[in-house]
Amino acid sequence: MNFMNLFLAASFADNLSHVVSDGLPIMVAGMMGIFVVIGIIILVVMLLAKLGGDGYFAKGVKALFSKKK
Amino acid sequence: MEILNQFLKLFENFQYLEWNQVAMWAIGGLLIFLAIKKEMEPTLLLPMGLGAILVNLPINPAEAGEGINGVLNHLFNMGMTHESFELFPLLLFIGIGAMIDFGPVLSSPKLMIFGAAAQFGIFFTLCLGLLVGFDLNDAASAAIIGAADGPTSIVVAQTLNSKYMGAIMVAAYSYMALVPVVQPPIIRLCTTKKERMIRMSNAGGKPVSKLTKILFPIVVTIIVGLFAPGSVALVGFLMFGNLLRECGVLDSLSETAQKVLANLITILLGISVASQMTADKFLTWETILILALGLAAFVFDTVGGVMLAKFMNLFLPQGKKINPMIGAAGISAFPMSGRVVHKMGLEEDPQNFLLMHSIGVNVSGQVASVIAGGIILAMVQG
Repeated sequence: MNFMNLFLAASFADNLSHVVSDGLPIMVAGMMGIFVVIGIIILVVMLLAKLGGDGYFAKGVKALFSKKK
Repeated sequence: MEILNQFLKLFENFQYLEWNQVAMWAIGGLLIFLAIKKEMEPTLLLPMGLGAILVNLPINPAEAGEGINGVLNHLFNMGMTHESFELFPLLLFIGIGAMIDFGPVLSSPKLMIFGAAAQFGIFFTLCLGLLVGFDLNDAASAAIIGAADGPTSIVVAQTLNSKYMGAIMVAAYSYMALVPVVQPPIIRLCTTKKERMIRMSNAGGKPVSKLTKILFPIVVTIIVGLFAPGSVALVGFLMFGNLLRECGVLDSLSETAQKVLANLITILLGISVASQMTADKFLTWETILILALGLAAFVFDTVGGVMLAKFMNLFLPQGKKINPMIGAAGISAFPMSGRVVHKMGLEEDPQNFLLMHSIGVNVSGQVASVIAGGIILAMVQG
């Protein structure tokens, strides 16, 4: 990268085209990707919180073992 | 005469001294000053500062691969290159994972969405990097400074074969330490006083069971592995460290990871990164651009988190609104960013305690930043 080329109109236009062709798609897809992955983690954590501790899973297991006795 | 010749041999090395090496001594000295006097990330800036001086001492070009440069290059090749699987940052992540308590975010998991929003600066800065003329790999490597996470920055920059490792590391760790300086003016610019005074319920999130805390690292590893395979190594090691902490039966291993392992790797990592701080690699116009892009990444991370909170408030009823400042805590600089937001909340309203929320968001930012690194790798390499 030649720093001085930053100020040349032809190079700036070239850089702008790289932003449009490479940068913007990565930005949009990347942010969507992060939100999707974090969203899935949030849902799974909320489900884990329901199932863990005194939640449905623990109650179910306790009930099963008490019936078996 | 023979004695004089022998005496003059002591000054032979001076002929190889260049002005830019002296400039790097000053930069190394500055890093050491910031580490000791200002206590800015001393664990990394101090070894990097001394390392910068070490690698810029004059040496006969015929012996360039020997001596201190040879040792530091060897350390760098052992633990920081793509060929060595970026071993040092990955091992450091075990220690970091063992230090993290995900309880605050598990008790209120919806806060994790702000961790995601606060990675906006990474992708925006990638576009800025392309605009100023960097190629895609170098733009992405500069952008990942916004992850506010040293190991993630190292792994991404090395995997993408960036030429600016030294500048990226200096920027990443310096800006992490400068969060209390960088974030507050940005937050004030993006919010009104009324918004900063919004009180959030401190009733406490739901209690988190031990089973949830144990399952969380396992489940996150699987989910991230499916969607962002490039970050599996980082997330996997982070969550492995966290599992050591949460399982309850490996306290000695957890303590070793948090203290001995983390400190040992930090020493090696800091000094080996310095091998990339030779004058010819560091004193370039591109370094200044990298430092500027790193700052932009932090700024727009803050903007991204705050703006999402403001957007959500448009749909939330009075009494349930979110203080938009907590969005800024989604940056991965833990725990500084969370504390900065809490302190700003107290300045506006001494009865407004945002710490629980801001720390929860801050912790989620740690996971989100690693996922962002994996996504960047997947998209740029692909």
